[in-house]
Amino acid sequence: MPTAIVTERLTKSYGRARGVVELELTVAAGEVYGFLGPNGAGKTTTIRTLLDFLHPTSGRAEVLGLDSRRDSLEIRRRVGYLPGDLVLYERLTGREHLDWLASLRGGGDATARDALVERFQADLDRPIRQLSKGNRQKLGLVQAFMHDADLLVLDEPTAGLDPLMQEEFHDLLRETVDAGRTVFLSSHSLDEVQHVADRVGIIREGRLVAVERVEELRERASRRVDVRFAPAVTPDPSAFTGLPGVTDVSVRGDLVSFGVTGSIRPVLRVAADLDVVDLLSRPADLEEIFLTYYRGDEAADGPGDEHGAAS
Amino acid sequence: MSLPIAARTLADRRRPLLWWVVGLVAYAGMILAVYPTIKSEPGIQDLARNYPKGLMALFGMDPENFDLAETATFLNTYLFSAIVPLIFVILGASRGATVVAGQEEHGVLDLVLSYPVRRRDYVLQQALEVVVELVLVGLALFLTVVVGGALVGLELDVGRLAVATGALVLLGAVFAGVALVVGCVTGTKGVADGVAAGVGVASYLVSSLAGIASWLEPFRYLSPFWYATDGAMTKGVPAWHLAVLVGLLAVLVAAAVGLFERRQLAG
Repeated sequence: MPTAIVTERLTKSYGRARGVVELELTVAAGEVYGFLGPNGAGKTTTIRTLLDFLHPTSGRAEVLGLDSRRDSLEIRRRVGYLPGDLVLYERLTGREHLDWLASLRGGGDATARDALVERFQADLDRPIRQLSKGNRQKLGLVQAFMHDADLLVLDEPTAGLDPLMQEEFHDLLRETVDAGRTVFLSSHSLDEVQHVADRVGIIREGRLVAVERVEELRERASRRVDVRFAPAVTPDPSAFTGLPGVTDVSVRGDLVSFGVTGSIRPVLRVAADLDVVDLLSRPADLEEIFLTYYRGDEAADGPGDEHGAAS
Repeated sequence: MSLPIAARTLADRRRPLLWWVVGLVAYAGMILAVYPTIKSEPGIQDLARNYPKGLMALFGMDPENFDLAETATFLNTYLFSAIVPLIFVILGASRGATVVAGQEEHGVLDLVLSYPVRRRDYVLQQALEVVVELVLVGLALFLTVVVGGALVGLELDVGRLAVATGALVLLGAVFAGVALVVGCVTGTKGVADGVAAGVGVASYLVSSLAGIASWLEPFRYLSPFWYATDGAMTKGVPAWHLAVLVGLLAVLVAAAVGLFERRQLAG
């Protein structure tokens, strides 16, 4: 499978600690790749290096098979980009702004643009200075998608979007990859990308600490289970401790709570023979896994330690 | 050939540019309006003749050969040696600083340069836009002097006036070039504007004081101000002065392009 983005030991140092260190990133063509990390981890630095705004201190990056330094113009011809800190010409209306941006690519067909505008209900008639953050962000998305980019590079794309528009945006991402295009998006929250990303790369303090398939993460993630016993019964936590995948067993009143990784069947089997009145299983909290990476817990340290966080 | 970047910037500048034109036309108009008074009141000339030499130099007056009633001397003194050329310098410096460094600080360059726009084209189109602004302001000055001059009875050499005005446009463009270069290196509008305007004022002082301080005389060859304004209306600006200014502008713009292409964008 061809790759959309490859970085080889990509390093960008600043005077201070900021930057990225020996980043080895591989984004396959046709996937949605979520680039995750807390603010200041190096996400934007990486993206700005791919676009040749920044030059690598060492290492290199290839975008769509082209060198990020030498072939930047051709890369930018084929990439749609949404900056993390979107700044537009305040005095223009949305329409004037989009027209002008289109003219930088030599103008052309406005049908794709119009479809996107309708989809996001973007306001094209008011001057941009009168638009809210969310409405500006819509224009940012429209401009990134309005030409047939082979690769979309989106820095925190959902910032300021309301839930309905986020949904719309997720649909758009699906259609985009279905059409064979690639999406590379950054976010500081897994919640935002877990429904759209095929894979996620997690960056912390400039280093890529993990690359995971979202599906696998979900399987490994720990569910919280609460078992409620009948009022007359004294809850017995020992029945659950030691079952496969069960961790952190605790008792609170008539409630026994624990985490379960993997199948819940062993738990159900045990519970069936006890005087249980209710059992509540809450969905896997992927965010919790990511927080362990973010915090730099022992278990999550070092790239390649794929199962560290879940164990 | 389409120049979307230059066109966008110019469209955005319509209103402020209009005010620059209004201000300059008003200033030049007022100066022209006092010409009949100066001509008919020899006392004013005697007063001016008694100015300290330094002051006369600052206003481009030649203490030895000085007749304010004469059109060329009058225009040289009041329009083509101090305030008006400095207005071109200040406009040029401010615009040269804004069109690249100012845009970068504003943050909009991140979006614009993510499009297939060569950095070279970006700088060249913006430089062109600044020159167009200066030309428009120059044209306003030229027309004001031609029309106003006719009204107050100036005996005008229109060809010489055109060249002198063109020289002011070039002067402004040179300092726009200085601001572009500094802006392309630092990415900071304030620094670019300040350095360019500062160098502009220094070159004005060198140019005007060289006439009375002989040790300064060799340095006037380093002053764009001198090339653009020395005897602009009395002797006329020689072609080689214009050539020096054009060459300097070309070098500055080329340097700005080269420096900006090698630079990383502030995020």
